[in-house]
Amino acid sequence: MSAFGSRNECSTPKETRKLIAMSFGLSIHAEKISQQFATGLMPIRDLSFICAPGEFIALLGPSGCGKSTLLRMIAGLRKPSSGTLAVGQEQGASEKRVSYVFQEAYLLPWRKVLENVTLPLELLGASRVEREFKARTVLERVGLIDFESYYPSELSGGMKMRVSLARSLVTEPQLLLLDEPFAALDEVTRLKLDQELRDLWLEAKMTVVFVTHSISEAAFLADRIVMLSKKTSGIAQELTNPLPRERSFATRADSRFTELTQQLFSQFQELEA
Amino acid sequence: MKVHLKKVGLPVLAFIAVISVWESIVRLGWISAFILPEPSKVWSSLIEDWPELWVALKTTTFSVGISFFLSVSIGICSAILLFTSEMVLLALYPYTIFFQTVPIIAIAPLLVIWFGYGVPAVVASAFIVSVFPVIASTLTGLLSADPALRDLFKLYRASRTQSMVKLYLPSSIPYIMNGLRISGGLAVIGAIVGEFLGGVGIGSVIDVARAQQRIDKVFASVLLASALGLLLIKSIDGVSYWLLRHWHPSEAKES
Repeated sequence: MSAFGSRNECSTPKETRKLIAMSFGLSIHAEKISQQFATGLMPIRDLSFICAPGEFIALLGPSGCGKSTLLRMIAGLRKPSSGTLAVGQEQGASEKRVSYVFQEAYLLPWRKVLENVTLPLELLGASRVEREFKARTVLERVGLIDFESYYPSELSGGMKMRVSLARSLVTEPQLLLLDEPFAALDEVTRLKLDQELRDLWLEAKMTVVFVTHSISEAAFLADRIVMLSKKTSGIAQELTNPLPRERSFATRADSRFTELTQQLFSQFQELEA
Repeated sequence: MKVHLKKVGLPVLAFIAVISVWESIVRLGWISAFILPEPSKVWSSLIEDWPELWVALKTTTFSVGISFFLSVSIGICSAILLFTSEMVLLALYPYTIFFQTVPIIAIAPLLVIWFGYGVPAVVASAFIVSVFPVIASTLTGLLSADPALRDLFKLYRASRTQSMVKLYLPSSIPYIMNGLRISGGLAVIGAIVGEFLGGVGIGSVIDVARAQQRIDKVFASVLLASALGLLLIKSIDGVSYWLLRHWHPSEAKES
């Protein structure tokens, strides 16, 4: 039914296909995009930025600065009111795999964990065997394989978010969009999930755009931090993260991490002033 | 255990109290048995008239069953249709409210003219009063599917059928169940009203008994009609629990 289904039956050897899928993130080219709501509110105005394939970007800003709106536009859930926004130009017209993780887990409460994770593949028309195999693989990866026949109501907040993450990964996305996914979780769970997400990205090498209002989370996760301003409805500052690619809990004690967060913090204050 | 005892014990206690007070009031002659027959008399009518009542009850149960089934299936399908097309919704929804506001007692004679005496007129009457809650609750359910989940389905390019089957309908089940409870009660009332004029079932027994001043028999029949409604609503509760036990707070297990 969808192009996704037919791709899986094409003749490229499985391993090669996996390599292509894994090593190629999608690029994002935004040129002077604006978003105006029917109310007249304009959270994004003439914003331009480029995201290279495989990059991990954090969109940082105070609440109400249009981070989520920008993310929704990148996901294709909302069209920009003006400007051009291209996702994965280099891929041409072929099907692009984009996944989205919301502020809360948003699982289907009537489905068990496994069925929640298989959902995207089901919608894209994959076979049952393939669906369950892939879903179990990602559940294993997020450490929830023993919980596949639980209902969401039986899980903790952190576990639900892990299932949500697994659901987003099951399609092997080339672009993963996350909208403050761990904001509602307790500190320890959040630090753990930050770590896991960073490790996942190192393995899979998809493009990641992570929206957050937490300075330390942005500094820990991203390669590049894009700060949005509420005043100008555009980008206030872009910073490249000097931290090494491999990050661990110790990274948070690194002097470069402290410097970066300091720098981001003072900019944050300037923006608010 | 203690909670269980309270839950069963208290209503039973209340029942016994009311029945004894009622029985004594009538026996003491404070209220004439013509106006309010004592419970023991209602009970004996239930026993003596059982063969007649049983036949009537079967007929009423059949009519209620058919009309409730029609209400559920036609109601849910209409709601889906209204939901699928905004044009249809705008054009037709105001008219579905007609089913809710129509004075059934006034049009019941017309139904007898159109459908003739007997079950068909009764089914029509019960259907008319019981279909609207199903339409309204299903529509509310469909419209309240979570926006984030709608986005998720959109992101994975779900077809309309996929979204309907895997998102909208499951999300509306709690709402539909609520509508069915209301609709079930109304179906019994609509059927009894239809039977007053249609000449069959419990409604007809009530009508005849009233004319014969057999108030005890009226009460016995009313009791049976209520029991039928109770049974229907309890069955809906059962289905609702079975469908929602794992995921909806309304049917969450007590811990």
